[in-house]
Amino acid sequence: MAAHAALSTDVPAPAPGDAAIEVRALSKRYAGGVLANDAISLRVPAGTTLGLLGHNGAGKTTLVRQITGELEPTSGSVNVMGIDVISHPGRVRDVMGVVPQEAIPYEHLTPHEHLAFFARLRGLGRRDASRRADELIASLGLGPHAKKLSRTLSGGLKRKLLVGNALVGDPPVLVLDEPTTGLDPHARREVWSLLRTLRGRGRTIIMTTHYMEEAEELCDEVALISGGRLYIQGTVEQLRAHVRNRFKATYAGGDGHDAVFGQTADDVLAELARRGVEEFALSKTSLEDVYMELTTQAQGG
Amino acid sequence: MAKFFSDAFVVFEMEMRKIRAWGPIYFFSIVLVPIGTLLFAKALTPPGSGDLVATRLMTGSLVFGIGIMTVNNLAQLMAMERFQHMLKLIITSPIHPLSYGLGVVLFAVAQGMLTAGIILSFAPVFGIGIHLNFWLIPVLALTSLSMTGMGIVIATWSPTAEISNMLANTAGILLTMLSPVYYPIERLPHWLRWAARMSPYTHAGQAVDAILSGRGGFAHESLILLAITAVGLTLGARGLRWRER
Repeated sequence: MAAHAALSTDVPAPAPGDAAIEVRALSKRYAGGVLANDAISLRVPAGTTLGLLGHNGAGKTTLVRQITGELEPTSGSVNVMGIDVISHPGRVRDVMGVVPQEAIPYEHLTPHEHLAFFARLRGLGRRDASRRADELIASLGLGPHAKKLSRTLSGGLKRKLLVGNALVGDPPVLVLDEPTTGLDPHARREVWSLLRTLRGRGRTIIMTTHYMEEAEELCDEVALISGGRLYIQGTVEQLRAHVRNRFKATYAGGDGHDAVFGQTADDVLAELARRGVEEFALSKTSLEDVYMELTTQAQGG
Repeated sequence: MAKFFSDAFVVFEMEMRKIRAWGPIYFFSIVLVPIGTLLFAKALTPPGSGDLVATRLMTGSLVFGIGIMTVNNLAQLMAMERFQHMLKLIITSPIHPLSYGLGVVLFAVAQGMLTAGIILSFAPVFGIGIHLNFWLIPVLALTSLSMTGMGIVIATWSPTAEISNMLANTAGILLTMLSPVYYPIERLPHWLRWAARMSPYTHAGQAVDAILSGRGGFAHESLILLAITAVGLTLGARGLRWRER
């Protein structure tokens, strides 16, 4: 993708390893008394991708909306690229592209118009905005739909358009709230490929997802939110160290596929021998297995 | 400052594309109610009532039409963008809330002016003699502008899309009926006149009628419309906040 002079911001880029996003003791209590986030602290180093995981209603979107400046925290601080989001919510939008969870595109616009208009809001002139829209349409595989009204697009294509919308300004930070929900496996992989490219180009990404495969594929670290609190943050390997079952073997059992879990590979092999299983596939537990165990732990199970 | 206005213009352009997307239904909807009302009122008017009555009916249709496009459509447009979460895309972009507000207000005024132009073109069809002069354009624009604050307040303060639509319909249609736009204020009961004087529809009706009838003297009403515009837009601007508490 071409760089656009008009898109550059005055914000100095953090050095690799420095935090691009830093959240400290962030809490949000709604007017009705509901505590949606409770003293969450996390750090996303520049150029990395953090996945926010958690069950529905865990507080992920509340956290995201405080990071984007859409929701005022009750207490705590949020810093993005050195900008205090609470005191300068307007400035932070210059350095951030967002895919909001519930948003839909402007349905009376074509994808090309949509992207071009939003590129102009990011400071591009008409011609550059149109060129930028062309680039994103090509990157996202929206070419055959570029001139159709967005209201005629499928849910998945609309979601792709929103991802493109977050990228129009080529911002250093991306906040993506369930960016691939509703996408078919092919479309999801196209978006993954684009996000991988962006990460390769030093973009910092924070994303929520319910797809563990997606988190495992794209994220350098994941953070598990439960009951409005940050339960754990780390690499998948670090998270795996906090669960009892770190290895698993699957095999064809009497009623279909069976699985054996264990803390070590030897534990799993011993159990398989005890069951008399000779053909099996041994692997580390997946993020989904780790997630299931951690969420049970987090909920006091 | 340049970005503030250029962003407002981008929003205006985005909204204008709705006219293309809605197509002929749009033109049908913007003329149907005011022209229907004009026909209805004309049918109820005794023959030989004179040009002044006919001009007043045209005035009423203009104000009613502009009111629908400005209050109803603006409130519904903003409520739809807010409650269907399209507005989130704007909120998370580097655009000032007032820039967005200015863009949608310009769209509402453009729609109001378009409606007014279409309704005025029906004057010769209905055999209504009207005086056209340059001042009609700013007065019609001011008429539309004076109602935009109400549309924004309804859309930004309503807790749900349903309530917003209900309030927009009430404000857009009932206010026209309760304000003396199809007739002079003197025809209202005394106790209702003070309320009617608070309505922008009343002053818009007086100012537009003064021009269309050729009697002049619309400056006073225009100043009141200007004051109502300032109050309405100030209240509307207070509802345009990007950050939820």
